[in-house]
Amino acid sequence: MADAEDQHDHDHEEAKTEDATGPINVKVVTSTGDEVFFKIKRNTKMSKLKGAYAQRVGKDVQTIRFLYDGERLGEDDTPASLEMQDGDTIDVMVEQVGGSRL
Amino acid sequence: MTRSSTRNEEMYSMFRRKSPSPDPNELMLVWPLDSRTGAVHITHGDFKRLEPQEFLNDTLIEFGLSEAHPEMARDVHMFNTFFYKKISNKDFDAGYESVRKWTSKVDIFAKKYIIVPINEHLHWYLAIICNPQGILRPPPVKELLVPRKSSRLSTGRQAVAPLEVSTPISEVSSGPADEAEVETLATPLRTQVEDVHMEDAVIHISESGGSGDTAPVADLHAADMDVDSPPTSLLDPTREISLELGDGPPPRHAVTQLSPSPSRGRLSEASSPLEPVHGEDDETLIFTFDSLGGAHKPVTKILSRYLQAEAKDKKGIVETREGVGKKARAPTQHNFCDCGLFVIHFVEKFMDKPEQFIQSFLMDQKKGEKKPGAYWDELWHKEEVNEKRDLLKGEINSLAEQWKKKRSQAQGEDRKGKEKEASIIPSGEETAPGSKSDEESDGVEIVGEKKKTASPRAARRKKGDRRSSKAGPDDTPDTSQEIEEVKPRRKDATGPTRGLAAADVVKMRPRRSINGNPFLRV
Repeated sequence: MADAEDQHDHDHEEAKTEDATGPINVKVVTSTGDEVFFKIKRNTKMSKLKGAYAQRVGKDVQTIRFLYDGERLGEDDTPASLEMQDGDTIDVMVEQVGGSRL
Repeated sequence: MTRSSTRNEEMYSMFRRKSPSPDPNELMLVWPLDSRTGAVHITHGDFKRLEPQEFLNDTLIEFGLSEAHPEMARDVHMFNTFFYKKISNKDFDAGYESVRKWTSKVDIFAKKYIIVPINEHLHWYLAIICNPQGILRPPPVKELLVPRKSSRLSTGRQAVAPLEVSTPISEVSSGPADEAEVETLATPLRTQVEDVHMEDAVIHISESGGSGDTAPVADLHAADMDVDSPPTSLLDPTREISLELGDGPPPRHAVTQLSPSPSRGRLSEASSPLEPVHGEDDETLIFTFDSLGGAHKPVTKILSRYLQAEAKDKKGIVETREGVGKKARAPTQHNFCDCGLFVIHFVEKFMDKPEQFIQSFLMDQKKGEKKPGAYWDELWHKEEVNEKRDLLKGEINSLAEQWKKKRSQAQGEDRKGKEKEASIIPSGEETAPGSKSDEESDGVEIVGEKKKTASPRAARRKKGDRRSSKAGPDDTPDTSQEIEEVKPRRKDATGPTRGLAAADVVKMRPRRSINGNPFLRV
């Protein structure tokens, strides 16, 4: 995971200068293990991140859910409000529907 | 639009099946209203899933569940609909790791009930864990477990006299004996209540080898529940059974001396000290409720393992026992679309009278009931399920009204600053009046990507394509412009961070649609 470390180093550098207000890196992970890395500012709303992610992977934003530590992320949540830390992971889940087993 | 006309519309949509089709992506309600993290966001698109015959989605399920008896929150932990998907990972450790932090702020063992809504194969069902702390005790004596197969094979008879104890049992058990389960589960006694045959074996043995306290009685109750043709002679006077067995071969502790017997191989891990078998009251029960009647034994196993892993991780307790799986016999659905409503209804009714429900299940099982007893009508109120869609609609509508008010108030206060902030976009360099941090408020930057699975044979989209499309639910005009791509730092980030191959996207899609079902999104 040398890459990850590089990334961290990089972030730490930034963290030194901007610290609590500086951007952080977050990892958006699907249940199959695919990851997309974002750098976001601490007051960026999660809805924005979700939109960017959906767009990137070509999904309808309505069909994906972002979870942070098992909690659904709200539109107005931000890394700051969630007290996210650099390198944190967001789980992206796909809408589930059910009516019966066919 | 005047206030009254708004209200009229709401009333209209409340009572009409077809509301004037608003934008399905438009947010309708954030629940709970305080909009904290974890809130469910219901859109008009979600709402439409309450139409007859539509399949409910995770959002509606979580809304319905969270609404059921909020006053019980202290005693109940409700996992979201994604928990089981995570934990049921083929690699259990990876699955556990992925949810390990979910409970960092809650002690699930302090709860009385844990609710686990489950979605599999386009079907909703439910598990309720009762008394999770029951697993925190050291495991019972594992010698007591005799794999059914071995007793079937009558190795016992030949091998060691005391094993004869198991012989009559295997005769009693009626039915296919060797479900692989028995071995794989390797459960200590009394885990698979569902599985009568095994249960029989286990119980008798435990009676003879075990503790000599009152526990076997409880065990028996548990054991009987699913017997197709209950061995009545064994059933009622549970004490007699132990007598029967006791009369036969060996004195109680003889079985433990059996160690070298052929059947021991499977029980090899069993080396814990002999200790009293606990009564059922202490047991962790894992009920599964399925409106299609499925038993879902793997669920019991996985949740049991989860509890054990959780005990180890959060409490440092390694010596634990397993949860006892029970299938709750409850009314079933008669259509192909309502399982989600049954799940919500289950939880509501269960929470009304949890103890009574549990007792009723146990009683059903004791009696070997195949169908819910008549007394269920009072507990269950099945007729309400039919109204559930309309009830949920009504609730969502009236809450939505409150939420809108609240939001417009909040926005009113917020607006001045926010609107300007929203207009910043392009480079994020605009001078934003709101606060000094506003200049950064919109940054979302993709810095890399890592595909675990397929290698992207990337038909890359052009940067420009991506930018021209709209970026999500935001009300800001074109958020995509804020997204700056940066050269990927990850070496395995496949071709840079431009678009994503269509092939890669595919695996993100929700489950495939069912033939001809127009209600599913693909």
